[in-house]
Amino acid sequence: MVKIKVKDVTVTYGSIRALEDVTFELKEGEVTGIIGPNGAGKTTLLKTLARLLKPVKGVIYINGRNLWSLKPSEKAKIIAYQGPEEPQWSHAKVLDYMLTARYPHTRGFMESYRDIEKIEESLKIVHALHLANRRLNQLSSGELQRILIARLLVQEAKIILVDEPTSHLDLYYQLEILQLLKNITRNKRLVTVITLHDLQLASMYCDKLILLNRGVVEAIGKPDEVLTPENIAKTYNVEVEVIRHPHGRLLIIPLKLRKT
Amino acid sequence: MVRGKRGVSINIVAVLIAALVIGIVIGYGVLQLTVKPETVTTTITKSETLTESKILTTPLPTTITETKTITELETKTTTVTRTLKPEKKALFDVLGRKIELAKIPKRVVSLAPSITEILFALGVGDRVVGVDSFSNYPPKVVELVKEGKIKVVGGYWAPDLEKVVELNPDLVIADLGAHYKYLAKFEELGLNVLFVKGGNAVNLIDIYNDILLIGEALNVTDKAYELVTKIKEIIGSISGRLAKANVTQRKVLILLGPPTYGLWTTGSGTFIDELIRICGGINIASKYHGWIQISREEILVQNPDIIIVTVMGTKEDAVKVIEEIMSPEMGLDVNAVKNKEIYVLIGEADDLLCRPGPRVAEAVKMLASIIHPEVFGEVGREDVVSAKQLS
Amino acid sequence: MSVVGREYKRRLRFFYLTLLFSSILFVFTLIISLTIGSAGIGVEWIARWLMFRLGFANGNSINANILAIVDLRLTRTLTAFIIGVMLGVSGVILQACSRNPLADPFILGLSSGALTFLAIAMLISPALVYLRPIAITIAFIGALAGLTLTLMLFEATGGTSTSLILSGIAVSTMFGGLSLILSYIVYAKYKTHIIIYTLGSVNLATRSDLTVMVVVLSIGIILALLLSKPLNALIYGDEYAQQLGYSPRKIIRYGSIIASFLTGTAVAFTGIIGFIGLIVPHITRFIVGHDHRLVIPASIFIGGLILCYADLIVRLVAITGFGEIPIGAITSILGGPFLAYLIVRNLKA
Repeated sequence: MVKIKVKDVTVTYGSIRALEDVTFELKEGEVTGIIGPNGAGKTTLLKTLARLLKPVKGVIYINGRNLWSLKPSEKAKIIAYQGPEEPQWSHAKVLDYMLTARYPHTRGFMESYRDIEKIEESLKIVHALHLANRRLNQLSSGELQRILIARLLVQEAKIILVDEPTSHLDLYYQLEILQLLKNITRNKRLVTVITLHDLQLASMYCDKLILLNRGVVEAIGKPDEVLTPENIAKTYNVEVEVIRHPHGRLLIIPLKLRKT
Repeated sequence: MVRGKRGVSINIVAVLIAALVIGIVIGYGVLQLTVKPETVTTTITKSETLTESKILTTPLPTTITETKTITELETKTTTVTRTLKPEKKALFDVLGRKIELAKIPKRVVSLAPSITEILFALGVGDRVVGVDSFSNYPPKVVELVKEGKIKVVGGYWAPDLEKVVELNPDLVIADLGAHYKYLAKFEELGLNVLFVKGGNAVNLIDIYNDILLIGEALNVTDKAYELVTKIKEIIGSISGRLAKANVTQRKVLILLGPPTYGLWTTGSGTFIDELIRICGGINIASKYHGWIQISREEILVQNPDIIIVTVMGTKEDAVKVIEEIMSPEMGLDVNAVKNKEIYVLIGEADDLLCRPGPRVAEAVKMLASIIHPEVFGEVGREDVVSAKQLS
Repeated sequence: MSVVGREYKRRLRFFYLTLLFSSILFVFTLIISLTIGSAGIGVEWIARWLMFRLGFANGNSINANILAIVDLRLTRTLTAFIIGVMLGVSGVILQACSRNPLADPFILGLSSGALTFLAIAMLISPALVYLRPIAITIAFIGALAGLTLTLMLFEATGGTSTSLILSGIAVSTMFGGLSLILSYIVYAKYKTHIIIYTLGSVNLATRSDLTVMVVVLSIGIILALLLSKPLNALIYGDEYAQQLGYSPRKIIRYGSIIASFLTGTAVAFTGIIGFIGLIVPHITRFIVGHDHRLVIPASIFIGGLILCYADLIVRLVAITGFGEIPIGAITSILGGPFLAYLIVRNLKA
């Protein structure tokens, strides 16, 4: 059982208040999407959950324990974060990269049987086993994205935080990645939090949405609860129409820009 | 195949350490292994009567009394007094190091041209087995090198240690200016090295001391005194004539190498500076210390009467240098240029000025003629190219 | 069995093979280096030297000269090897910490900083520099100072890959100028060119120096190995390393200390020798891949052997009577084109 409790979290960059009194709870087996306009604080929130940023106010509990009370090595076993950038040492092979993700769990200097197994398993799940010996800079965007997800699995964390998993990907890969995330979240009962720009995709693949606007939580809930024309108009300054498609999907149709 | 949960294979650190240790230990340990020591332990307490080797003092006593206390394994103590044969002597080089020469050195290596000149001037050239590549005087040296009787052991700045050791010398004479950094290595190699001031000589006394020191080391102290006295006489007579002629001192600028290499000159604290003074000149760079570069502004301000340039090259090169100095781009609007008192020293003249060796007397003669031709006559040397010669 | 397992074991096996081959090559190089030098010594004398040194023969079989000369050669080769390792491992650490393939101890200001501080110490009192442990400490501080200045300038100029190299060039040039001035002052004060090691030389180290160097090297290697996993994490990104539980700041700090320690010692004993720290990491990574647990051990042999061979070239040239070229000249001739290739490849990407 994994539970995240975020309470009154406020994060500042100097005098800029990036997040203000953010409060919500997440539970396992669900994909939560953080949406909102540019500069709303999506990446900031994700980084704060990843413990890369420290809130000036508020607290985050992981299963009742304060996030900041964990030792870094403990935290690494529980939370895995993938930022928007690609890995910065692109001449390395996929295997090298994967191996590092085992470090929180590896005892001793070299890897054990279990570590190798885990890597194999993770690569299989993302259908990238054949890429194990390729260099990172020899992968296509879609392949790289799958590798990054595999790395999150290898790290065997209970909480997965992915910033913009679908950027730079074409439609096929966008759907593929999000479906992958959804599947592993369900199968392994993880807590998955992602940030998304595309509201359509958010509605399709997220169990829960957090709509941020200027650092404040505008709305939380199921996609059809959050993605209302009122909310979207208020936060994105765009007038839309939201239609329920017969297949059960939400369709968001932009109508016109709102004057600010 | 895979073996259990921990460790797919052996711990890498162990393998690495093994490989590294094997490699380094092979080489390093081989170096450290020595012949097995003898079983008798001897403690030697020496009491010697020595006077420090100074110039113009009485020679060293030829006997050294050594008291030896031998402690054998049964801790029986016996005292043995022994008089060392007069072949053994000890002297102190310019670094204050005590050099013990077991016998009169028969195989000597010189690491500097000035040292080679001293050795040959003292008449012990037959004992020289190695010289540096710049040693070219007396001409006999060049001959002997060609015949293979003397070997070249590298350059002045970088002696080839292997070649030196290969020659199995009794004594190596090194120049403090260039070879100080080899000291530790010399000692490790077990070479008997005597350091003389050489390029570090600040005045003529240093040069005389070098000659006397080498003379003593080679057991030709008398010859050394003779040589020094002769040099002093020549120089003395020159300064005497200058004093009698009551000349006005003339301002001299020395340039080492053509201006394109930079305006290098000799300030105070160099023997060249003293040479200039002795020859009735004023070194315009004497406010500076050591071997330094001078600026054009300073040259203009000082307004030298004479410019003397040393150039390693031919007469054509010398002419080019004169033209360069006199050219308007150079901007040296000084007396020396106006009066065409520019002298380029090539070949042997160059060596004469720059070597702190026995030919300083020649150098003084040459310089005196350049600076005061009214007393000594024009310098009529082939290897001194004067601006006046060019029309 | 598993694809990953096979690949993992294959690279490990290849790595061990590389180590094995390199150690054999090392021993072989040591032995032939004994035969190379300006004094003509036949191979049978080398064999006799070996016998004598191992204790199998008594002093009659060899004369003191040959003993001294072969000892000289061995000392020199070992010095070259050890310095090569120090500079190579420093290069690996610096390239990993900065995530920059152009980083190396010279270009980031460590070598020049060490030299400058040594020159200052020499000015204050030559005795300071002759006591080896003190010289090493001073050189270490100097190297660290150079690196720190470079990093500060790097932060101030935007923190990009190019700005790191440019900052390093600025700092190393400044220290280079300083040490030149200081060498003039040292000369004026002590009237002898004591240490002007702007182009290094391996032939001045004595056997007792070797002991000190080996100690420093062993410590450095062990520390570097301990840092190898953190470095593996760091190279993919600061945030990546952080979320893995590491502190990037600390890794860089420790890496800087180890690299400064090794580089400072190298400069203290043999002066500035460039390009080794630059090319060794690349060659090593080309052979064994990008896992620093493999790169650091392999770089030991690659770095050591490369400098050994550079020294052999110097000795071969000396045999022809040309004189002893500084070993820095050889490494520059080899390293310069390599650097050009790196820059081109970097700019294209």
